[in-house]
Amino acid sequence: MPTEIVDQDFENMPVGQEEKTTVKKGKKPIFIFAGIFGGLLVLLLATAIFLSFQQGQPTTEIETKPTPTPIPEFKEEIIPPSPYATDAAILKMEEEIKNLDQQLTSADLKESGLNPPVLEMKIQFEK
Amino acid sequence: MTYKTLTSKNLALEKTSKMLKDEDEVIRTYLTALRMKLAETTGISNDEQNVLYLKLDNEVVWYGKHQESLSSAATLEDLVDSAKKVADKYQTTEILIYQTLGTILSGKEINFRDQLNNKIQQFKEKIGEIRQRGDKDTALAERWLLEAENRLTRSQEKQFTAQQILAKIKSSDVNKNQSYNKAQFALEESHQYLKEANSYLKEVIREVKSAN
Repeated sequence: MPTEIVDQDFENMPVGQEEKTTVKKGKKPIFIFAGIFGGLLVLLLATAIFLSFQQGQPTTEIETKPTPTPIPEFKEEIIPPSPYATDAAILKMEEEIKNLDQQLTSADLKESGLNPPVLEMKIQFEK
Repeated sequence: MTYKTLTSKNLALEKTSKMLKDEDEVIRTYLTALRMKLAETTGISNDEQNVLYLKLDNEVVWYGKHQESLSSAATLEDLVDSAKKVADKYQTTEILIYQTLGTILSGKEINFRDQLNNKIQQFKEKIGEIRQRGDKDTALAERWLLEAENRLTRSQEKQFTAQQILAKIKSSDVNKNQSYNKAQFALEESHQYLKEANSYLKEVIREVKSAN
């Protein structure tokens, strides 16, 4: 069976297509790199501008002086109060009881400052 | 004695004499401090205070005389005898020390109890007035007062226990401080009852100030 020989002109084959594809593949990372670089540049510029603005503004010093924590004083409010809630004698007694309470709490019942002295009284000489 | 020479013997005599003198001085100073504390403590009866003053003064005199006698000690044997005398004497002095300390602590308790007792009487009078006016129910306040009185009685009982413990200390007791610690604990319990009594008086105030 006779084989048909197809003429192929290898010399005239279009090579441009292949070149185009290589160009496309090579340019893509460059664009990405350029994008990232540009973004970083913009970010750096923005930071530099922001910092320059910050430096220009007058800084206010914050005093680090410690302030006491306000302790709310507990005052028992009796509701509803009796006619004796404001009685002078009762209020005086209340004050006295409070004072006595403080004295009872702070009383020294050990007198550890008056402990008897520790003495070694046995004397012996070896002959 | 290490060298058994006259020099070393004299040196030992000198050092021992000084040590015994210092010991006497320590006891005398301590007893004087105790006396001063006793004088500034309120709540102790004059009779009890005077008895203790007399005993403490006698002890101070004894140790003073003993201190003087040490100068005349010629031998180490004299000093050993002298030291033994102090050791025997200190057995009874220790009892006096612990009893005085107990009296000082008891005096404080008596003082607080007297104050609380006065407050209870004042409250009783005031509550009596309120009851007579009839504008406030005083039943609950009176119950609190009764409880406060009850705590005072218990406090007194505990103090009595402490005094009994202190009175039983003997000169032959090896650990006298253990008895004193027991007495002190009883006094702390007594004090706790006083605190409770005071807290009940606070309840009386609260009750009187609030409407029915």
